[in-house]
Amino acid sequence: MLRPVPMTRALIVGPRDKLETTVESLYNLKLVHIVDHREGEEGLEIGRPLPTASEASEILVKLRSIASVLQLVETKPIPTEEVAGDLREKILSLELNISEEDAAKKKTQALLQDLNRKIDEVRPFAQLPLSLADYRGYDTLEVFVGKIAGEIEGLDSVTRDYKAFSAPGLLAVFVPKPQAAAVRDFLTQRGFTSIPVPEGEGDPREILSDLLAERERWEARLKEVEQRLDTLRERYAGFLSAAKARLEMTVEKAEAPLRFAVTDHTFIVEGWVPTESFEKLESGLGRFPGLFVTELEQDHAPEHSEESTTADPPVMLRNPKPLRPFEMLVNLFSTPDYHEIDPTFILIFTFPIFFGLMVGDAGYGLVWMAYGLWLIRRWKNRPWDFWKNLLVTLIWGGFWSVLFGVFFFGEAFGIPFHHPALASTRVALLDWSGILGVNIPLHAPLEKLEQITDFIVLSIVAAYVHLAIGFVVGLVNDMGHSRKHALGKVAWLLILTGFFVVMIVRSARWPLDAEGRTPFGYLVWNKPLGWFPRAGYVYTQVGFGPNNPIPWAAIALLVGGVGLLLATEGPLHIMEFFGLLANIVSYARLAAVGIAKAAMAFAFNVIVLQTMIFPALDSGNVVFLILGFLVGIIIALLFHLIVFLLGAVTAIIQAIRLNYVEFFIKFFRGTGTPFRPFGERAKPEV
Amino acid sequence: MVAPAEAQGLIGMAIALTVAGTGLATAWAEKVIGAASVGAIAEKPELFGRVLPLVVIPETIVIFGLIIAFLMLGQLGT
Repeated sequence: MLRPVPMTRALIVGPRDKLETTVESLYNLKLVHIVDHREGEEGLEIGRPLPTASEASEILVKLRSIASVLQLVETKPIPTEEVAGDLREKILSLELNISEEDAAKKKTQALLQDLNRKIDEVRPFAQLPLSLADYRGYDTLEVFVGKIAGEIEGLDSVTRDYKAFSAPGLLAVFVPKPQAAAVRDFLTQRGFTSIPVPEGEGDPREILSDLLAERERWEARLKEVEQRLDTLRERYAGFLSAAKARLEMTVEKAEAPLRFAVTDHTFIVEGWVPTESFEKLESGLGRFPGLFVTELEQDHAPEHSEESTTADPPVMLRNPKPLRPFEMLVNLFSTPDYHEIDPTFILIFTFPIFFGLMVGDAGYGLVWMAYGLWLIRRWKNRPWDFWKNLLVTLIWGGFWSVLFGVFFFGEAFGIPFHHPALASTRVALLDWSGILGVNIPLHAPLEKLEQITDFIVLSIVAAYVHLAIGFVVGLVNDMGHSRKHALGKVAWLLILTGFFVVMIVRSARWPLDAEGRTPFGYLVWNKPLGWFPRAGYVYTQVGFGPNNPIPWAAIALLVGGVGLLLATEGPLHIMEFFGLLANIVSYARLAAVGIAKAAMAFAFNVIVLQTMIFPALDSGNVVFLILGFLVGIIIALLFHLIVFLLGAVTAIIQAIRLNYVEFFIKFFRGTGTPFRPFGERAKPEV
Repeated sequence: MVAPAEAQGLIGMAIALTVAGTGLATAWAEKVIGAASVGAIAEKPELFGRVLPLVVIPETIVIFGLIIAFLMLGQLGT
């Protein structure tokens, strides 16, 4: 659970005449992650593909071209057994059929394009009462035909010697050549753009109607061809996708020898097998006489140097089944290194807890859980893809939201269990205890909209815990191979603690705030951190008064941490000193998102209550009462849907971000290659 | 500690400026990164996980702004 599944390097050696059966059984076993052999390595050549390869890939190419002509969308894969008989013959005849139709379709499309161009050219001329022949063939006249934006007036001022024909948006002018230049200037200045006169003779109106009729004929033809292709698609879609799956399998098997090493009479396969399945592999292949399966090297302690990464085993994460969806969050970032701790077990808590803190509302959390569980039931047969995994992580998020909403924030749908002590308006006085008529025995330790500073302090506590876990994990990761780097992590831990204490001390200045509550910082400083040495440096200008001086011990932690960091990681890492401070403050987004979401819900409640529900209640009229409540509830539902979705999206992104940016960067290498056994069809990634 | 009455208006404006400025800066930074990231994802969809944190990194700016704004809010009288 904490580490990737241990792998064993397996070596399979056998005579060449057993190659095909070996490939076949390896494919069915789905256990070996084959390590590609490189040509010439250790004086061994790579194998040649099986004879079936070239034929199968040839048909596969044909099949793909058919699929693209038919615009086949990959449907649900059909069990490959359904494709029986000679694939080659079927596909070749289908290809013949389809390529004919495709050629007809392309030809018709080209023709139609040509026709459309001609129609566009002739169309303007059909508006003028002239034959096409009238526009050319003059020795003394210049002809201007073109588009105009509006009416062009005042051509008389240039010359009186012209003849013009015009239609809406079109103008044709005939002028003697000597005046042509002046007329051209005049026209261009007024937005005239000339268009070419189409080839041919005769009345443009007749030509146009001929062309239109022809276009109609060809469009009908195109439709016919497309219909035939549609029928073909419907009939063969299932067959084609099944055949494709089968052919891809054949090709993968047939080309497998390219990844093996061969000599004149033997072949050698190298690959990684999960250690626990090695016996299964041995017994699976042991049935064939002459085949030799052995363990190459057992990977022991993480003995790891920078250049050996290429030889690292592939990584297969394995966590208890209910927690497996969280592996997706890790893999989305990167596959962990074989030698490092699989951070999934931390994400199991941190991701949903952060989500819960940000949503922090029992009502929304409950809706999330109910909706998620309902969707999971509906998706029973869906493979475990990105969305399904995400959904499970969100159900956990909903669970934590309910916990925080009930016990910590005392709030559901933006309405608190008990109204704040200083509330004065009618809306602010509304609370669940009043609505339900029962005094809910749970009092919120933190009222989101009132205790903003406290929420930020809480975020800083979360930051400390989260980052400290990150450094500890990094420490464990580094301990195996470099004591120096491990000490560097200790240095960061010291600095982090120093920062944390200073921040908490600053927030613990007064035992009571303006509303008479004990601030969170004061509680944290005096209860969990009560053991910390108090003596320190008074610095009133920035809020460290005589009651809360900066502890000498915290200063010592910071200075000592920096010293240790200099000794272990070098002076360049000092730059990250303030980066860590920024990381801690960055967790304030937990408070920011939580407060923003609660404020939005509250604002929507104000709108609905003040404009609909309260007036309806006050009217004393039964019709008004029912109408007001009906409309109010519908609008409230809409509003809360917005808060619900917006809040969830922000909470997801911010929770992921805190884990990826602030947390993973502290320790995560993520240079592993995922374990992909030979025989497992590649699944589409996110 | 509450600031004197004649400074209250200025503090209010400072809060608004802080939030607006940091918000704008974040938006600007994310715009540039986001556009580049979408380009990268179009080429290699598996980069999504690596790119997402990069896109949201500038959000820290507005969070800082928000913190400063909250601190300044404390200076405002009620």
